[in-house]
Amino acid sequence: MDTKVKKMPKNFDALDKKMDRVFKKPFYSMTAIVIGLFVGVIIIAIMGANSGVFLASIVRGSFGSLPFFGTFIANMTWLGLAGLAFGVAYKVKQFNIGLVSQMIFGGIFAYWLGFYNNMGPIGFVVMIFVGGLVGSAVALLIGVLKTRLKVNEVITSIMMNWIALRFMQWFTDRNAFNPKADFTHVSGDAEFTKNIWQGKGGYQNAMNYGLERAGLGAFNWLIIVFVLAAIILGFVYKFSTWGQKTKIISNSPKVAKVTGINSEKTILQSYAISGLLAGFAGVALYLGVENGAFPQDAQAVPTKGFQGIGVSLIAFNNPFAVILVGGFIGMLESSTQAVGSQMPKESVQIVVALIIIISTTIVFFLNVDWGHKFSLYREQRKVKMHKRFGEEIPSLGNRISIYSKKTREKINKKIKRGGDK
Amino acid sequence: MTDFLPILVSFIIVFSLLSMGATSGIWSEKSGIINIAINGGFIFGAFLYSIVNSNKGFVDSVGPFAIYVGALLAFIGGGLFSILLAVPAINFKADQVVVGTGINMLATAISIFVVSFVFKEASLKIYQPTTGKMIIASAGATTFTGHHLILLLITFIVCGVTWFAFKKTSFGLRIKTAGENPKSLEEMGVSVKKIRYQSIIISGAIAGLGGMAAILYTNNDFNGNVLGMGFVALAIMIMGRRKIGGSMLFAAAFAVIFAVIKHYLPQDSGFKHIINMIPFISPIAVLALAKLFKYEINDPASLGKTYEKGER
Repeated sequence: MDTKVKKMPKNFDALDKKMDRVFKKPFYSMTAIVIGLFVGVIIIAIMGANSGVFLASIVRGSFGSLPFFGTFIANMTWLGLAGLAFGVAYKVKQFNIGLVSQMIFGGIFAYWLGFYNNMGPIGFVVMIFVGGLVGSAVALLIGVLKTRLKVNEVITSIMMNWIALRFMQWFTDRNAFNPKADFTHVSGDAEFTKNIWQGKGGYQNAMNYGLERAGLGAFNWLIIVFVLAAIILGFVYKFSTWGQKTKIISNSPKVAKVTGINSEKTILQSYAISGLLAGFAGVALYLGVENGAFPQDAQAVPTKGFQGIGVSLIAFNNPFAVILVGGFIGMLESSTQAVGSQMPKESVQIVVALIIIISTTIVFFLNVDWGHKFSLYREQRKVKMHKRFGEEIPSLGNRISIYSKKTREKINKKIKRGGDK
Repeated sequence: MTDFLPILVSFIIVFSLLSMGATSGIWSEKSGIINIAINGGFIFGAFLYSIVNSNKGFVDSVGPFAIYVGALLAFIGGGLFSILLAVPAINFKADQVVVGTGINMLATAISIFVVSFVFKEASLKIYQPTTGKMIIASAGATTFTGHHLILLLITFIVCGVTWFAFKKTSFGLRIKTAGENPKSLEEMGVSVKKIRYQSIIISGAIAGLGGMAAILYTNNDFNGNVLGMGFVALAIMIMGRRKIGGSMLFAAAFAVIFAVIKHYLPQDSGFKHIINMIPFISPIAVLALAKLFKYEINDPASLGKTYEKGER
């Protein structure tokens, strides 16, 4: 080759890689979401529902009116917090599906505390933190069982979910321990408890007025906690020693052992943070969205928590991206309020489940150099044909015309270096 | 011993449900693919089974054979449904636990969607013909019917075939090698991917068949969940060291627990919710104690890892 090649800038490769790193994952996420939505809409259409209504309601349900927008914010809060909770554990390769149980326990204990105690204007802050701490304790139980007794965390957390479900049924059962039945006997300010029950907090002021107009309550201040937590976690994982430790533990446990990282401690810390965030998510869901109405006759673990897993996975476990993806799944989740009775609620779940499955495979598809693969296939076929007709297999230099341009350049380089024939 | 039969009936239903679920898990995990989606397979199988058996006209015209038709449909449908797990897990390097979770969500969502939107009902109730040779049993039935016998027979056939396949045939040996050391299998000239596909489809088919027992467990009433029995089955498979004998033993033990809870402990007080926690607390306890009593549970060496041709 005697054509003069224009000299590239020195750092071009590094820049290229950086651009790749910055733009690749958002592209994957978008592709997964688009394909998942597309397949989901097709499935919904096959079953005879009007998928146009569904698509329109995704936008209308979130931005159609102020109360709708309020619900969207509320949904985004718990989904995002749950996504962060799952992601923190997943950073050290721990699969915390138990976040559902942590949400339930956190929500129930926060509710219980607020219902039986009059704590004045800061009551809701105390409730939020109690919810978080309870969630953290449940997650630590799973973590201790995993690190000390080597019990598979998936099994423990699935069982934990069912224990939490039974606990919730016990909590809401009329025969055992029914807060609803005792509503009039509660000591303290009845108005406050009533407001807590409705998720509005115990007081009126100018700050809450805007929130309440959008149909939101005190517990939806958690949106600030969520955004702050996402940003802090993003920087922690990127720049701190602790973040690097988690990276090493998940990528190569052997290296972690050799370099003297206390991986047990880091894993337990991750579980604690994960549980804390899941507890917050539980408070945001059961007190902020459902207004303290725990499903009384639930036969299965509420699937709402599992959508948090979806948020984390679609965001490729990047805390910053969780904010955006949480918003998107929040839109899907609040679409049901615009549809009304035309469409079953499960249409959202179908789409989210499909997006989860597709987001796991999309990385593989988009990493493949299809042109290269195709040219390899063509080469193999050509060699086969030559063999069949007993001809001499041409050397690589003569076969070169069948390759794509990119591969041809690669081979030329190889020949220059005097490598393969 | 007047109320012995109801306990036996509950025992048989839970035993067959759990041992079929565990068997399904064994097929999949021995080949090196983590199968969280047993619960999803149960739900999908139960869904197909109840579609056939809730159809009044069909059951009336076919009679007791509706059970077999439903079971066959669940068997085939479960197998096809498991391809959804197989393709990402075997070919596309996906995280298998994540895919399983997605499939569990999808099975529940799709079945409830169809029940509420297509059939326009809250749940699919199994239609029980009053005339006919066989009475379809429910979990609350007080009599031992042919249906239970068939269920028990199917369970033993499934477990027996699985035992035979893994102990006596080269196919079973290949599956085990795919889970332990896929490279050596590839060196022998056997395709690891093919073996894994086969074993996962068999696994899904067995889980679908388990849906037949699941529908009995939920009192012949399908509303999109099987009360988490798939997850209990998963735990039982791990407790039984992914072996058919151990799994059946643990399944029997758990079936006794379930039957005793159902029939001997008070069901009307609020305390019942705490009692109902026992089946879910005990797997954790058993697995935690296993370490202390040196009952070793070893995962297959390449469990959860996607095999790529030519990797070292």
